[in-house]
Amino acid sequence: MQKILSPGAFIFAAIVMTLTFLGVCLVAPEDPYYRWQEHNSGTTRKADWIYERLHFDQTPIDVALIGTSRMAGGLSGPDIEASFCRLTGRRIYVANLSIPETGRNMHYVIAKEAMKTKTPALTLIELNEIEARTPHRGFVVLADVEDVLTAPAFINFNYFYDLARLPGRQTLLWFRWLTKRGAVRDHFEPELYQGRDEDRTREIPLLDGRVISRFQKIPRIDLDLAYERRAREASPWRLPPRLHPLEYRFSRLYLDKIETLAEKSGSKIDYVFLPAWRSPDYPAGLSDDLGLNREIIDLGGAVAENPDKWLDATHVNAWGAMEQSERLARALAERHPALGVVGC
Amino acid sequence: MGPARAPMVFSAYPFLLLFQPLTLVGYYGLRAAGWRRASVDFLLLASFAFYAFWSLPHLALLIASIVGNYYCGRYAASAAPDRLRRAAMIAGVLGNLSLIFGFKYLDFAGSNLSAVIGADWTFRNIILPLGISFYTFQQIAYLVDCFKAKDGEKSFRDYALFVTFFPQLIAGPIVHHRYTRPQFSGLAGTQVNADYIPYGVMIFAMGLAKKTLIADPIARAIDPLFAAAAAGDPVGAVAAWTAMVGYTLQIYFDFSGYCDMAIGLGLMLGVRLPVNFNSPYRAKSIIDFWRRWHMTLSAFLRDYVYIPLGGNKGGELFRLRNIFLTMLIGGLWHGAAWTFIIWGAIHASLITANHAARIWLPQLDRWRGPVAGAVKQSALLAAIMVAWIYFRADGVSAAHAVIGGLFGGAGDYAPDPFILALIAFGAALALFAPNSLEVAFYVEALDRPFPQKTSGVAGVLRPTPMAAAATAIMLAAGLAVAWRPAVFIYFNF
Repeated sequence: MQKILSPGAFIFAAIVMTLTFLGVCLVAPEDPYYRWQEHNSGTTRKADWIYERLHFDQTPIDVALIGTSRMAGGLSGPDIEASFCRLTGRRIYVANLSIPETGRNMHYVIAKEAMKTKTPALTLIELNEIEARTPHRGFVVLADVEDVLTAPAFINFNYFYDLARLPGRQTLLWFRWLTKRGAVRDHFEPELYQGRDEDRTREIPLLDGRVISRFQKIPRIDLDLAYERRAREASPWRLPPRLHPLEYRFSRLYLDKIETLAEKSGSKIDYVFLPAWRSPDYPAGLSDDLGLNREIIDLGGAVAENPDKWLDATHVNAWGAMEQSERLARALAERHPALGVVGC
Repeated sequence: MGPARAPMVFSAYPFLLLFQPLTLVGYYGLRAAGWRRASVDFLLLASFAFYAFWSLPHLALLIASIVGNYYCGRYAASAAPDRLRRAAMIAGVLGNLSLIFGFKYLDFAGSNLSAVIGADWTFRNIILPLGISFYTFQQIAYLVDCFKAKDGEKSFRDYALFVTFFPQLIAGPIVHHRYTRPQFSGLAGTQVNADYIPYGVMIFAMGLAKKTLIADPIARAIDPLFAAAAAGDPVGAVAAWTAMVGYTLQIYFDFSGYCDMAIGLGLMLGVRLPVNFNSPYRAKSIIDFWRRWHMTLSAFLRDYVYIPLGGNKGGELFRLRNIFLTMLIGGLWHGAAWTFIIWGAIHASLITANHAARIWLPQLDRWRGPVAGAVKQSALLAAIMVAWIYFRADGVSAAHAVIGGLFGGAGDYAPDPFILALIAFGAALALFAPNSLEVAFYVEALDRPFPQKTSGVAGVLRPTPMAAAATAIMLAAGLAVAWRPAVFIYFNF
């Protein structure tokens, strides 16, 4: 008969063993392809395509676009490629790796994967008139174990929540690895692959199978109402001026990590400002707070004041995306004329 | 006035990693400092915080309900003339019934009346206060007991804790004041029985495992099947049988898992709570089933509905009528929808028929043996499972679609082999294994010692190193799976 433990000894043993079991989950084997299938934004999914583009598609990437849904639906890879070719006579491959929702830690996850696999000659990072202070909800779903464990704790509202969720994620992925069953598909199937550029500037495929066309616009009054609501709820800074650098420390930290990765892999980084309705300018000073230290590609201006270019107050429609893509191609032709190869 | 967020679920991180550890630290910290009365009051504050996590405005409603019932109870238990005491008791009961009617049944009654007379009396934006069915019924029982016994709770704080004690506040078990009163007053005066604590952790871990490892995965598999039925999609036989059997197991492991967690939490704080489940799917008859399923509700319905209706006085037919009405009210208690009324009517019919057979067909009752047992139990399970379809379905027509599917073509639904294996495992546990409280040899009766010290009557589970390892595995698995939490079914009632 086993020894009966005292209440204190029993609780201590149970806690130690629970933590041990949870720790073991973190080193369990997994297939990253299955991990990238676990993420969706609730209405759409894209992470699995990003993984397939980076790992299974042999087409190189000259320009990688990394940002939020604003960039995913606001810049068209094929349009940029065509305009750049027209302007320079050179062929480039653009991959829009943007994923919905804000949070610089997600941009780091995607940049890390892109630079590990394809080393884009140029990586373009999205900037908005309001910099997100909070982490991306999907970080704990997609990030490597070590990135979740070593994420900043003090300035990261999600750190402990992500940490608590990590053993569960790894257990699920371990189970998927054992059974060879992914959330979307069990293995890469070329015939189901969406192609080298999943352009979402014309339409948005939803999880339930519906497709939303972006060739539509909404009344100006609705745009203005949404703008006013957004202006009330968000401001570039909430902390006093002395603490501005601290307010965006989280973003800055992950942008620094992306810069370091780029430096190691030989990729160049540029920042692209994408405006919202009636917010044509990138806020003065925000660039310094983020430590960007360079001129940004500014796609603001007139498009932010033209109601015919907007799907809603923060996303351009298909016509807006065409205009922004053309302007970006011009900026690239000017700043990086040697991108790609001669001949289109 | 709407809730700000989802309720604090026992199996989710906010509870597991913040609320419960902080509550235990605060509670035992105060006790270690010698402030036992304060530690009991701390439990009251923790219970308020637990409820307020869901909605602060609804906490105000809960407190108002507690204040009203406390004073009605004081008067009903006072030395005032009986008619005045009775009036106070009736006023309190009517107040509780009005509250539950207003929040839970008004829209249903208005919608149905509107359909008949062509009016537009709908109240769709009323938010059902969390746990209202439990805390109003618990207080109704308290008022009746105060009147009968001429004895009520003197301390408002202890009364409030009796109603709000967070392990049982939202989904039971329904607790009698006479059961918790000596325990709460005991905690204020004496030490917690430290032997309770490892048993509390073990029972909690088993409940967590039942909920997160069995009920939730089954729910994720069958929810789309019921949703498809509600959307009008055809339901094939494979989907219908998977949905029916899956839900039969899901609701058992979900609710009994919740009750295990409640009992475990109670023990960690030095409080015993009543048993709510005793392997109900091993019942030999529908009467037996209701002695094993949601036992505290059955006892409440018996004491505060069946007996006031006349009970077994007035002849057999009158008694059968009372049984039928009691079970019908039990069905309606679960929710304001025709599906719950039909579910209640099915159980009411079955239990009434069972009682009638005992009176007029005694030979059926005497038909015993392995074959008779198997036949009776199979018929009982079939009836219970079909009734669960009404309980779960989003509308009567969706329920009929699933029931129709049971006898139709196979359809194109291919169930996940893992889910089928889980359903088979769950069924084996529910039908053949001792339940978690039997394994822990849990004793509900306060006049009997727990845990048992005599090795001759010891249960399987003891706080040994092996039990600590098993508990750790269940806690780790429950914590791991909780990264995608799901709510408990009975939170909806």
